[in-house]
Amino acid sequence: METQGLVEVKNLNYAYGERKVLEDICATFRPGMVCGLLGPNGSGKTTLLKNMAALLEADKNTVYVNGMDIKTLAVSQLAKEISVVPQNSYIEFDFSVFDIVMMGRTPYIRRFAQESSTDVEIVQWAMKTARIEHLAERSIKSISGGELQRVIIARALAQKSNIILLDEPVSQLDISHQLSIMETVRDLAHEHGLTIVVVLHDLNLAAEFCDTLYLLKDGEIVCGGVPKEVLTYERIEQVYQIVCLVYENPVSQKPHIIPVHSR
Amino acid sequence: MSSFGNRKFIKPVFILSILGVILLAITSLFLGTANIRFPDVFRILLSYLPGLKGRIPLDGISDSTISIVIKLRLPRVILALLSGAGLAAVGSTMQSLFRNPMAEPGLLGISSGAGLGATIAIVIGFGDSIFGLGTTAIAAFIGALVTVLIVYNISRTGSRLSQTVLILAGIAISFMNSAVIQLLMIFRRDRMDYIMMWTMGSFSTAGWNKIFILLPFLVIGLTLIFIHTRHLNVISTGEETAKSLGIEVERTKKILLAVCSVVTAATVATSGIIGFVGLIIPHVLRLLVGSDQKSLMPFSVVGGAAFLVICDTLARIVAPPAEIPVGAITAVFGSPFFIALLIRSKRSVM
Ligand SMILES: Nc1ncnc2c1ncn2[C@@H]1O[C@H](COP(=O)(O)OP(=O)(O)OP(=O)(O)O)[C@@H](O)[C@H]1O
Ligand SMILES: [Mg+2]
Repeated sequence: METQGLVEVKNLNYAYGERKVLEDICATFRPGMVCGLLGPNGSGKTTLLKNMAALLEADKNTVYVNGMDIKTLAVSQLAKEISVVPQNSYIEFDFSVFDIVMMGRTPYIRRFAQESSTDVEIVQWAMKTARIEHLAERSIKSISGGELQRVIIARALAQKSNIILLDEPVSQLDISHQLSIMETVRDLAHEHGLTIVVVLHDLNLAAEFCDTLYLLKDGEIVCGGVPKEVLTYERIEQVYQIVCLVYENPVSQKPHIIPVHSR
Repeated sequence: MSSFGNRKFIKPVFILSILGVILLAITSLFLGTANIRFPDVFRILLSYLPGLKGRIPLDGISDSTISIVIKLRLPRVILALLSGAGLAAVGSTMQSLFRNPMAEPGLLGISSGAGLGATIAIVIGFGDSIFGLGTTAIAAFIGALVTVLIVYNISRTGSRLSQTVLILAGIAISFMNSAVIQLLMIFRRDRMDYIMMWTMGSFSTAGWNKIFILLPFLVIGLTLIFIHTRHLNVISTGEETAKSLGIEVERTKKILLAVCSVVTAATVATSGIIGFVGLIIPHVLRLLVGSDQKSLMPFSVVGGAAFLVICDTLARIVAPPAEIPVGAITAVFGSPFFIALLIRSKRSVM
């Protein structure tokens, strides 16, 4: 089980048509770790994440899951390995929240079978973990943006995969839910050995919760490593074009960034 | 929410609605220009049930009455039931597949594409025999499939589907198909009435031969649709999501689009272009039973069947002895409905 959940990206290039977006990306994501992807808007974080979930057509031999080329894995098999929380979710039709979370069980439910009691239990656990139990019977069209984001996280949890890719999962959450979701994914990594890859814009949240970080700019990885190495004021200035101060959080000893002004 | 709390009522309500449709169909058999008494309709029907043949006394009922019920009205009602079931199921499927509540074979041009195919077959000279109908159905199917491919490819860039372009392209192609049908009609004035039927939709020429053409396509099509209801649910929440949940989205879409084209084509080849069924029925039912295709699809099938039987009965009895094309009746219901939908979607954008 030790190699379960290893994701390696090797010399990945990606272009949308003529537009080159990722250049020569090399990165490794290990089980038991929370890895953060940081970078300005348009730097290619979402594109990288989608490549890691085989949602985009990349070249062969660029993304490996458990040591196997992702291109060789069947979609149904992949769904049991990797779950994705997309950056934006819009759902046109009015399913109940419970129905949406239950869709996370799709890879496990045979074509003509009903949802089993195990499926229901897992869905209930996922809803509890994402703190949306009280919304179960509500229509997905009638809940708030942050609530929807938690529903989508619950769906990914219900998928019970070894690897969870989250694209800005806390962008619409209040501070309490931000912490609760980040604590949850950290527990999943540290206690249960899952591989967590999370795109974040909040540098301080990333510093607190991620074990390793990759910093992207214009489709290239500028630097990777533990938060202390990556989040230096020179580098933040270079990547984000801002002036900032970097302190040490007295509680966690992690870097704490205070933006001063843009350049 | 109206629907989610009472899942356990869905089954009994469904059974009741099936009984309702059967009652509706029998009522329709009894209505019409020829005056036939309600109990007589029952007796005639019962006498034709396997196992009861000859045991029900039919004295007092004239042969012509029997023949009106069995040879004219019954196939007509059955054809309306089948067409309605098929069109509503197709509409419901396409709405989930395209994530667009306005997707429907009529609006996406599939019906008119099938109509064009059928018209070409008729102009060439294929008639109403089983062979002729079969060929017409195949021509209709090709027309439908070509149209769906054109519309789909116009509205898609990469993996993204522009919902506005989808509807606009459908309507544009639909106009073009109708225009070509009109042109072909000019070249074959002698068959004008016959082709007119295709463009408006009518069950007036219903016969058992048409039922035998439609039924196999419908059974296979509906089976495939029902096999995919869970997939449809997931796809209706987003294609990338569906893919990351383990669904072969492209393959599923191909299968279901082919099914939609086949079922639409078979109904068009037998009864012409009947619009709006696929739009109205799934929509109304979505308000009542929710968007979960596991319950929405069966209700759409039953609802579509009921709707077309009602519309066709109206077509027969509103202005006797003249017949109104059933497509005109569905359009009378459908157009305001479509406009209301447009206004609502405009509001939700604002
Ligand atoms: N479907 C697409 N077609 C063409 N170009 C695209 C597409 N999606 C993204 N891009 C471009 O690729 C680049 C990287 O986009 P990506 O979505 O990966 O950025 P991101 O780092 O996730 O940004 P954000 O922080 O805004 O989410 C951008 O320049 C964007 O304009
Ligand atoms: Mg992004």
